[in-house]
Amino acid sequence: MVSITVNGQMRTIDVPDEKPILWVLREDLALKGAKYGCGVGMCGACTVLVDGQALRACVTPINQAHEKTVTTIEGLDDELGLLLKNKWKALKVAQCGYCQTGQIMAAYSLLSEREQTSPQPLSQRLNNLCRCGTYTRIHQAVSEVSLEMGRGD
Amino acid sequence: MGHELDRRRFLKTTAASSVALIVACSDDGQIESRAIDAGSLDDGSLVDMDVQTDGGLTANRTLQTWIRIDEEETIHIAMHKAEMGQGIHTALPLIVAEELDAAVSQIKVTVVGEMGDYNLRTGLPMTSASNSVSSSFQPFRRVGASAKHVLKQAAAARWNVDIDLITTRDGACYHPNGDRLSYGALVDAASLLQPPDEPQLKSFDEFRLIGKDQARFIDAEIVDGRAVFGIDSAPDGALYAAIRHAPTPNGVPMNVDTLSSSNADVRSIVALPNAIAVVASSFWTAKNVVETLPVEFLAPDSDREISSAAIESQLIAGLQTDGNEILTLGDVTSVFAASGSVQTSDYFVPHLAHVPLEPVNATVRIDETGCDIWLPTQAPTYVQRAVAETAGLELEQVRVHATLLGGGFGRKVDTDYAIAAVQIAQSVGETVQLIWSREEDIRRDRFRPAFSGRLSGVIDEEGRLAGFEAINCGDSVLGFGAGDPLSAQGLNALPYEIANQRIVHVYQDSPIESGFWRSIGHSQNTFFAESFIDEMAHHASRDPLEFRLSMLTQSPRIADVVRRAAELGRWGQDNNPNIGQGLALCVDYGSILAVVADVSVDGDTKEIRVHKLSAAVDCGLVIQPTGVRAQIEGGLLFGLSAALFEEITLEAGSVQQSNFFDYPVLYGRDAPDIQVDISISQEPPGGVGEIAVGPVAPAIANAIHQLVGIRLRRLPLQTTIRQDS
Repeated sequence: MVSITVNGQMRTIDVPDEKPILWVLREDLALKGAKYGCGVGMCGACTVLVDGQALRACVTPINQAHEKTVTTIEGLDDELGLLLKNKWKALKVAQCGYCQTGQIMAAYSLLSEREQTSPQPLSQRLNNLCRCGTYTRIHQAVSEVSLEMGRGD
Repeated sequence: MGHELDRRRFLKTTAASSVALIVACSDDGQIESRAIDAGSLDDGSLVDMDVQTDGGLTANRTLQTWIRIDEEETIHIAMHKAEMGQGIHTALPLIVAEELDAAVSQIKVTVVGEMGDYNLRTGLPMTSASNSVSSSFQPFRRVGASAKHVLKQAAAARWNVDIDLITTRDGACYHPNGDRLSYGALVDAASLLQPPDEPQLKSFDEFRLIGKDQARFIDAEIVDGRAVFGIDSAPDGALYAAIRHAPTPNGVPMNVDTLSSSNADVRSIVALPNAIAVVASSFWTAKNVVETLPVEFLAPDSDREISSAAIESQLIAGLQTDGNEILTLGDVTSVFAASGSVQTSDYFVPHLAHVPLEPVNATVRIDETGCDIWLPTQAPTYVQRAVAETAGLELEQVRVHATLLGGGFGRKVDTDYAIAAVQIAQSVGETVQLIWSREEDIRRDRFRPAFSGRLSGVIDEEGRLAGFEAINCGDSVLGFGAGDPLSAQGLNALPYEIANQRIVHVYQDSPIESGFWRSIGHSQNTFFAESFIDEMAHHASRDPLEFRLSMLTQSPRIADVVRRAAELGRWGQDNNPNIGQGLALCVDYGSILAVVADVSVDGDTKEIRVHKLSAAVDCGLVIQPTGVRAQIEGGLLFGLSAALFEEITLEAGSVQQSNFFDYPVLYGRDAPDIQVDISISQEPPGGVGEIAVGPVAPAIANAIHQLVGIRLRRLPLQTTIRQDS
């Protein structure tokens, strides 16, 4: 039995300890915003937050989230989350949209860090694949939200 | 049209709470309409107009374009094209809304396949070849305008004023005195009227929605994680299946009867003709088990002979053999014979995978009424046929639910994943979702076939390209053998004024499956042609821009695009010794695109960096400017990824790549600055989904040549430059 708080709701689930968070969310909790893209942690379509930290849910066993807080795109409704979602719509970032939930989660994690710890520009620190080629707009969206938050780009 | 019957007669006699008006355009151009019960969208009540011959509509006519206006003011627009990122589910509805003068907020987009049995005879077309806007523009305008006409006619009768005095906007008719009647209030009366076949269309400068960015209808769902892709379609309680294909093209599983799993979540192990599948209560379980079962595949010895090296040798040898004469202009043979210096270059491109981020998948439910299948597909009609054949059902018993696509790029035209899902569902007798793992999606793709090219040319004393010959050799993606026109796409209609041309295609079957890959023939042929044009410019000691323009004297629209790309990319203006510039052009799909690439090469590591892509495009009338820009940006990056990194290789019959670590595609950190200049045009709209893909590789190769003097004639360029250096 694994106990997790998903998008503010306490859940106890009877699944194998090593079942990846991605498949628990999709198959056992009917939360399908996190996507399967590679299964090896390379594409980032499955990105969710565990205790605020972006993780690749397809390679993270559910027991690593035991008694922790999991936030998925469906529950990303705080100020920064909404800023990002609205910016994504305003700039028409999405093409097919399949990777974009993971992109937003990754961007959220990056922008919610207290201090900007890396000298690298944000665009170099995002590491999620988009096969449609929306990178230019993703970078623009993250940069604009960062500036609106009074941070650098 | 001989069907002046009482339209209301065909309303269902059950107590209808309200009426809806349907206006449709058949593929032979006739506009028809009728009134129906405004039942719910999924009860089939709006969808039977093509099967009731006495309904005043011709049986079995293809009705691809139709709208339904409800008394409650919702305007449903039937969508016959797949949404896979190109924004078509926004662009096409806006075309109807424009001519209808509807409010954008009252538009509801519904995929045709989701409307009960309506799809059975409608011949849902493929979503391919960048033609969704260009083929739908006029029918959608005419349906919108024709519906508006009968609504205005009904308002004119109600107010007893001349129809020409009535204006329309935001879903309502207006009397000159300001009185308003909403479209919904006019549906009942308008449904008795015959819509015109040739309604008055707006002139382009009257457009209020077309050409001005509107919100994409699906973006709210996408950013909230509510958008439903095929992979999200499994109903509660469905089982999940994972598949493992034979490692070589003609392998078959031998020992499935002896296989078992101790995992309690496994429900079944299924033998398929070329694979095994494991069905379980979780995909994760199914995938783990299928990958570890000791399955034995038997393959003919010839499978082990298949390798990339053998394929390349065969394709290069094929260039020497007789092929299909695709195009002959003037007399190349004489020009070549008279010249002392015919320049010849050989090119090669490898097999490529599509890797849509959503791997192929399908969810199947079979019951006594037939089969429901939910899947991301570019070709619902193909799916319907394939499923009917596989399951032994009539076409009418197969209900295709076309979902959003998490990327298509041509992969989701094929029906292999649908067929496998049906076979598995038949075997286990329950609702099953089959997902191909990323590894299976790559290894068992329908690949862009490898191609060789041999291009020859002669520069005359005036420095002009006097003769041009191109021979290419590779597989047919249509399965047409030597007669596939797509094999020569990108060579068969060069935009340049070259008096003597000979274009030949040599067909050579591929040992692994071939398929449609975004831009199809251009993905190899534009690399060949635009690289070789650049070679010829250098051979003639002419600037590649000026050389191209000198062969576009009769094509001002094309020449303008080339000039604007050069201007946008500051062609030849920045003398940075570390940056090379290359130019390439593509003309197809009713559109024109030219691109300038700014490229550097690290002296030690030979790492190629593309710093900037500057593209000018003329695609005629633009429906959604940001949508066009997005397609160009995406097409350029799709082309860039393949140009630099992508290659499928084979050893002993097996594909060597399986995931993003060995089939690298472009990450954001490698994405260049992109600038796009879109022409303002009132020419008919052209396609933009594919045109940007092909010219990227030659633009980069041309830039590298300008920078370091090395001519790269083989893709992917990052691999080639390291081998050649």
